[in-house]
Amino acid sequence: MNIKRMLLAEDNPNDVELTLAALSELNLANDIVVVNDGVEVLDYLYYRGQFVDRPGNDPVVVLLDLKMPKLDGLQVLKEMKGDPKLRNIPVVVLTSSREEKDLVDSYSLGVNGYVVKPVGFDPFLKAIKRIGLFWCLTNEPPLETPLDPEGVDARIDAGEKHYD
Amino acid sequence: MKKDIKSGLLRYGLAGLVFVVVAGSSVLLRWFSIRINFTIPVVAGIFVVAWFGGRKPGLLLAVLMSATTMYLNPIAPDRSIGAWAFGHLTVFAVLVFIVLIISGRRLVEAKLRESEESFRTMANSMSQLAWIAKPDGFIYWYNQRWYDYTGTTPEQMEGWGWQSVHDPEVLPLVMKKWPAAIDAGTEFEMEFPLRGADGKFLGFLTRAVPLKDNEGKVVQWFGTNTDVDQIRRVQESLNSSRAELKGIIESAMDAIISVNETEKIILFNSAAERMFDYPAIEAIGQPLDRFIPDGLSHTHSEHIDVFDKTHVTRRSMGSIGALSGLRSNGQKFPIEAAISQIETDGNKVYTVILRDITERKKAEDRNRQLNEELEQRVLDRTAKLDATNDELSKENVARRQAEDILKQSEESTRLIIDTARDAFIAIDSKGKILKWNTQAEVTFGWPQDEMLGRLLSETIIPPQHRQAHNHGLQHFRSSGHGPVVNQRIEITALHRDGHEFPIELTIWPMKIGTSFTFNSFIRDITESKRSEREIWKLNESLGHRADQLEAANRELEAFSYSVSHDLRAPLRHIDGFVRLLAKREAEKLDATSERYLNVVSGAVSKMGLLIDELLAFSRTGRQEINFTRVDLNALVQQSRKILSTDIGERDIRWNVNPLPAVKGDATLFGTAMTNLISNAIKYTRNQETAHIEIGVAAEGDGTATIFVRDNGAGFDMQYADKLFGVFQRLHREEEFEGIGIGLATVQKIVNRHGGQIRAESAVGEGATFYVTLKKAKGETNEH
Repeated sequence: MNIKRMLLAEDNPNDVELTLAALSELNLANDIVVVNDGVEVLDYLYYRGQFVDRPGNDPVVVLLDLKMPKLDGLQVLKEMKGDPKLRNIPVVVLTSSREEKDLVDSYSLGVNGYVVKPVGFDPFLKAIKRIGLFWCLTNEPPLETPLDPEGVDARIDAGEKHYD
Repeated sequence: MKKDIKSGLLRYGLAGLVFVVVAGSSVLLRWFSIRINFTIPVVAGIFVVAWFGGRKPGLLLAVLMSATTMYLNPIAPDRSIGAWAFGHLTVFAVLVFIVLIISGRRLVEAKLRESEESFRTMANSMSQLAWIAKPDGFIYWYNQRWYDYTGTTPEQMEGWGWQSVHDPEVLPLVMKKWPAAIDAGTEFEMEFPLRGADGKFLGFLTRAVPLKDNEGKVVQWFGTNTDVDQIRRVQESLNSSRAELKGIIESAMDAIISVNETEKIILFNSAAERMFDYPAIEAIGQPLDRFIPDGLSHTHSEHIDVFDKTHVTRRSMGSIGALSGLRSNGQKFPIEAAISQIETDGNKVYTVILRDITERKKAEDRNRQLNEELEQRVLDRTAKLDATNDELSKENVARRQAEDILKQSEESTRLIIDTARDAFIAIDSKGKILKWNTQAEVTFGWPQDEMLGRLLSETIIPPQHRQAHNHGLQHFRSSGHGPVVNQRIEITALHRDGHEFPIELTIWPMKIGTSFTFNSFIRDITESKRSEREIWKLNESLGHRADQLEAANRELEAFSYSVSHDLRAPLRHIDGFVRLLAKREAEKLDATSERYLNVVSGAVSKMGLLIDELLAFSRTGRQEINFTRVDLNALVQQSRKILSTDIGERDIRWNVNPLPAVKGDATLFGTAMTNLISNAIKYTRNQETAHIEIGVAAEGDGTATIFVRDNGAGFDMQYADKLFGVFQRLHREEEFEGIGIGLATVQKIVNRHGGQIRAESAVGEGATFYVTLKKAKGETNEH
C-alpha cells in the first residue's frame, strides 16, 4: 500500500515550522512534503524539475497558501482544476485572510476546502490537526489517474477483463 | 546720461586736482630749491585717482606725472640718453600697472555693489522675506518685509540676531545646517517656522544662494524665506468656496443634474428631488433616461463636435427643444433644459439645468388661444358690421353685447399677461410698443405709461442690435417671414439704468386685420447664466474630487488586503513560537515567566481581534449599498438568534413592538441591529433583571425613528460625542469587554443610508439609541 502523503505549499518558513509542529503531535509530520512556491507545486505534481524522480503517487491533499512567490495559490488552483489529470486531487486553501474575494474566487475555481489560519496558536493547532486527521485518516482519496496514456489504456483493459 | 557726464567730469577733475597739487607743490618747492623725493605722493595720488576715478583718469594722471618727472629731471650730463629714457619708462610702466590693478579691483567692487543693489531692489518688491549675508553668514541687510513680518528692528536683527525669531525647538537644527552650508559654500534650503510680529509662527521655506567670484570663493549670500503656510490658507479658502458652491446648487430653484460619460447621474440637487419627486440618494448612479425618457441623445452628436474644439460647450434654456420629464409617479411634464459639458482630466461631465414649464406652457397656450379668438371675433365683427351697416340702429343691443364679449376677452388676456412671471411686450410692425406688463416694468426698469407708444429700438434694444432689429421688422413687413420668430433666442437687453443684461425671449407674430403685431415673452437670465458658470466651476472641482476619491479608495483596498494578509501572519508566528517555547522549557519556567508568556499570547489575540474588527469596519464603509425593502421585525429576530449564546441563563425581559419596513441594505442593517442589541445585552449584564425595549419613537413623512432602550449601566451624556468614534470607549475594559467599534459601525451604516443616530442616557439609568431611517415605499404609519 502506498504512503499517504500531504503536500504543503507555503513560502514562509515560520508557518512551515508551526504546521509541522502541529502535525508532529499526530505523528503525521513525516508524511508531508513541503514546497515553497506555486511553481514547485506544479513541478511536484507533474514530476518535473527537482521532483523528476520523486517517488510514488499523488498527494492525498494539497494544502495551498494563497500568497506565494512566482505562481500564487489561485493560479496553481486554476491550473490543477483545469487539468483532468490533476482535477481530482483535493486542494485545501490555507490562508491568513478571510478576504471575501479570495473565498469566492477559490470556490469558483473548485477548491475542496478553505481554512483561515487562526492567529492564536491553540486554535491553529486544532485546525491543522483536524485537517491532518481528516485528509490522512478519515477521507478516502480518489483513484489515481496515471499521467501516461498507456496506463489509462491498461486500466481500462483490466476493467474490461474483469467484466468478462 | 547726465549723471555719466557729471561723474566723468568729477573723475577727470579729481585726476586734474591731484596732478595740480602734486606737480604744483613739486615745482613750487623746486623754486625754493628744496628737492625732496616725490615718489610717495605720486604713487598715493595714482592710487586715489585709480580707485575713485577709474581706469582712464588714472592712466591720464600716470601720463601727466611721467611727463612732469621727465621735464623736471632732464638728462644729466654724465648719463646716456638711453639710461635716462629707460629709467622714466620704468617709472611710467609701474604707474600704469598700479592704475590697472587698482581700477580693476574697483570694477569688481562696483559690480558686486550693483548685484547687491539689484537684489535689494528686487527683494523689496517681492512678497517673500529676503536678506543678504557676508561670506561668513553675518547678515547685514534684510528687506522691509522681514521687518514688517517679524516686527523687529535692523539693530536687533544684525548678524546672527535672527535667531530670536526662530522656534527654539527647531533652531538647533538650523544652526547645524546653515553653518554647514556656509562652510561648504553650497546652496541652502530648509523649511522652518518664523515668529511673526503677532507672536504666531508660520512655516517658511528658506533658500540661500552663494554668490561666488572667479576663484569660486563665496562673496555674498542672498537668501529668501517663502511663506508656505500661505499655500495652505489658499487651500482652505478654496474649500470654503467649494462649500459655498454646493450651497448654491442645493438652493437653486432649477433642478440641476450632472451625469458622467456613461450618462449615470453623479449630482442631483434638492430642486431635482422636488421636481421628480425622487430622493437624491437613489437617483445617483441611475441613468439620466430614467428622468428624461426622450434623452438628450439627439443633441449629443452636434454637441460633441463643438466640445472637441473648445472643451467647453453649453446650450441655454430652451434651445434644446421641447423635452419632457418623468416624475416617480409616472406623470410626464414639459421641461426646458440647459446643458453644459466640461472635461477634466479626460472625464466628461454633462450638467443639465431643468425647469418645469408646465405653468408657463399653459399660460402661453391660453394667451395664444385668446388672441386668436380675439382676432377671429374682430374679423367676424368687422364683417358683420360692414354687412349690416344699414341695420345699425336695429342691432344696437347686439353690438353692445359683442363689445362686452370683446372687452371680457381683452380683460382676461390682460390679466394673464399682467400676472405672467415673464415680461410680456407687444409691438406693432413698426416697432412701436403696444403692451408692457408689470414684469416688464420690473425687468427693464421702465414704467408702462412711459413706454407705450415708444419705439423698442430707442429703449431696451442695445445700440449694437438696433439696426438688425429694424431690418428684421422691415423684412417681415415685406415677406411675412423672419428668422427670429417662433423660436427661443438669447440676446442682451438694455435696462433703464444703462446696464446691459442677458435675456431669453420668444416672439410670435399675430395678424390683426391687415397689420401685424409681435408678441414676446422675455426672461432675465442673468442669474441662470451666473449659476451655469458656477456649475462649470463646480464640475471641475467635482471631477478632481472624484479622481482623488477613487485613488484613495484603491489605496484603501490594497491597504486592507495587505493588512489582513501581512499583519496576521507575524502575529500567528509570535503566538506559535511563544507556545512552543513554553512547552519546550516547561520545567525551567517559573510562574512569573509563564505569566509573561501568557500576557504575550493575550496581547497577540487582542491584536488579531483588533485587526479583524477594523477590517470589518472598513468594509462597511466601502461595501456597495443594495437598496431593498427591509423588514426590521425579521432583523430583530435574526439578531436575537445570533446573540442567544451571549444571553445564556440571564434574565432578560424583552418588549419588542412591531417595526416598519425601511429602505436600505438588508445585510448592513442586520449588522447594525445586531450591534445595537448586543450593546444592550452587554451593558445590562450587572442588572438582576434586564429590560430591553425596541419600538418606534416617531414617524414622519417618509421616515421612521426606531429605538432600542435598556436599563443597563448607561453613560454620562457629557461624553456622548465620543460614543460613535472608532476605538472610543466610555467604560473600562475590565467592566465591559470590547474594543469600541460596534457603535462606530452602526453610525457608519446609518449615515451611509442618509439616516441619523443619537443616544440618550444617564449613568446607571440605562441608555436609549434612536435611529431614523427612510421608510420603504407604500409603508403607512400603522403597523
